Amino acid sequence: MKGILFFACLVVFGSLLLYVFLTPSFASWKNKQVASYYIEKGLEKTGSANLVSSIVWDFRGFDTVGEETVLFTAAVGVFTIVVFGLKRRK
Amino acid sequence: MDIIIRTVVKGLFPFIVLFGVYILFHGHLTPGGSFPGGIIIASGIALLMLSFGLSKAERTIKEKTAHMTEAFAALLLVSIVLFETFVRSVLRPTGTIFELWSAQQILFLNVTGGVMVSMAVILILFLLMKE
Repeated sequence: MKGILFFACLVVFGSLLLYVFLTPSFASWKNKQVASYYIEKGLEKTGSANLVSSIVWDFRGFDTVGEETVLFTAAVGVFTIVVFGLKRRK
Repeated sequence: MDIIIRTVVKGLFPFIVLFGVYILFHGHLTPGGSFPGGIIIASGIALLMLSFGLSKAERTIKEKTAHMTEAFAALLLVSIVLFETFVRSVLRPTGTIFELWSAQQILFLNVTGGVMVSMAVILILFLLMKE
């Protein structure tokens, strides 16, 4: 039973690894429309001279807001743990 | 801490905070943005905290102030994002590109998010130092 499971895991892992190595790399992709659109139209669409900033805060704005939410949640979590821990110890 | 470290930190602290504010305000022109600027401001406070102790850092910025500022900055950030999503053309400055007053909402978002990041990190440092 154990040997069969090990063999199944090995087959799945090997096939996934083979799939990763057989897919074309990023450099050889023919479809680069999104990236070239950001590079060509980013300045006039957003008015930001920093292309990274324009992608981070404009084209992918909701993603960055999620990152800020992660940091906010971390601060709230540390606050909760410390305050309730101090209260319980006293 | 040592007298040398205290003197260096006392002289360096305003410039660190000024550099962080500069990175926040020029996030749409030069490399940087809300995360690096906020972390630089928080690192200035962390330097103060390590060299002078918790009470001196508390005299510079209180824990409650950090808490309130972080909460209000988060609220402002989310409201700017929602506002920009639905009423896109209101917050659009009519400046020229490559000047400070140029990007549509990126300037406001950078400054607000940077304040939020710095206050969150300062709050975490305060709480862990107190613990």
